[in-house]
Amino acid sequence: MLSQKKFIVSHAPFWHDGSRICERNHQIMLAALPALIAGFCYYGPKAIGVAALAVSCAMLWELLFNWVAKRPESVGDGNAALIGMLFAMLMPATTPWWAVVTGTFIAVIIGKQIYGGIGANPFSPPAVAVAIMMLSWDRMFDFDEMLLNYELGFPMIYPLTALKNFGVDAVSDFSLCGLLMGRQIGGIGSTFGLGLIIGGAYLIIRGFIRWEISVSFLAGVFITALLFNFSDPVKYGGPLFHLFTGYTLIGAFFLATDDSSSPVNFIPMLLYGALGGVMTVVIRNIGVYVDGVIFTLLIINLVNPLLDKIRPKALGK
Amino acid sequence: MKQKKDVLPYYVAGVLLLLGIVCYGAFSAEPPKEPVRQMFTCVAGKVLFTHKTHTAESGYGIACADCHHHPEDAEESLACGECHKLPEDGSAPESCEDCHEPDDFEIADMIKQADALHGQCIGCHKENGAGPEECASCHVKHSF
Repeated sequence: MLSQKKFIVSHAPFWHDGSRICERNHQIMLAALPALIAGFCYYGPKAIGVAALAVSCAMLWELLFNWVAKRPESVGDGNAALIGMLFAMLMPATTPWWAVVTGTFIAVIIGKQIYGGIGANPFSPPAVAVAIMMLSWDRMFDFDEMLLNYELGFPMIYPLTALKNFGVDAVSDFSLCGLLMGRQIGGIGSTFGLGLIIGGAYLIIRGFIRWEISVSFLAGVFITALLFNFSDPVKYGGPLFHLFTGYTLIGAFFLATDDSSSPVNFIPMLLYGALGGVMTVVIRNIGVYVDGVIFTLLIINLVNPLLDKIRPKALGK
Repeated sequence: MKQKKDVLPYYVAGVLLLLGIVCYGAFSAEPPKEPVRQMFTCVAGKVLFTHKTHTAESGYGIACADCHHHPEDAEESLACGECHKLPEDGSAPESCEDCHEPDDFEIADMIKQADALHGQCIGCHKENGAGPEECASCHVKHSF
């Protein structure tokens, strides 16, 4: 029995296609860049300051944890920089410096490193950070209040707050085209919908993220919002409005697709994304929060291990 | 063979940290002298007031003194809260005693900030037949 062959490996030379984990993170950052740059154009140097500080702080927290935990330095893999960048994209341009330092600490240390580092985090690190910040300093996510002194040539009210409190009439000044082009207030890198869609499509085509998750997430948002809209068109916004506002697009393409906190099989990916989309609109329409994406992400991340139990039948069985 | 350490990410982190500090230092969050919008916070929910839209000629063109009505000849307008925000101990706001003797006015006559703002906003909206008048049209219950 001991001589039974169980695993056969061919001899060298082996071939490696040259891709490394850092390439994946760099490509995701590259894909997120158009939306971030649009944020810089709208909000100016303050937004640049938030993004620069967030990326650098995330890298420094990672380095500090590597030293304290006596682990190999992992700053070079680009994952900490990516977490910092996504965190900045979710924050308003007037975020105080201490919030950036605290938020990146939560994202990198509590969201990722204490679980064992890259590939071991059960939740999307930027979503963990934003959720904790949201519950601790809620006024920081009231974009109407945070961006009081900006005048950008479009309605300066947060569309989701206006919709939830005053109904569909209050958001009639927003055109869908304008929303897609980022003519709405919100997080630095989460308002320019076209940029996020282009970035997401690029990542899907290159194979860095799975289309099943993003598409089912957006389909979940669309269908649920459509049903709500049919039930009461005066109170509930239309499906495209929900798709192009708040954190929907950044959530669908950049947060829900985090590799270690999302499923790997086809059916679970569809269920995971669809559940996220449905939950987002349910929280927005009947929950107490104006944008449910962050809490939705944490819930679907939590469900992820259960969904991954749905496996394809093994070959030969 | 030991792989050579890539130092580029460390330089990038350092440069971005410097850039962040410079941006935060050079572009501090100093509010403009005349506010663009204001957020009034109260128990019934926040109210976003479009100050500039109300004052600009291209907006409603309301004169400063129409709202900041006291004192009438002041060079700089007093904010609403400077007079109408009454200290909890029942004393007079500091701004009153800047011009008046303590015996010259009755603190009981001073309208509270919420009543002053309600009177000002709703009164003007009713008078001009424009703007919201109902509570739920201004007060925001869910803000994040």
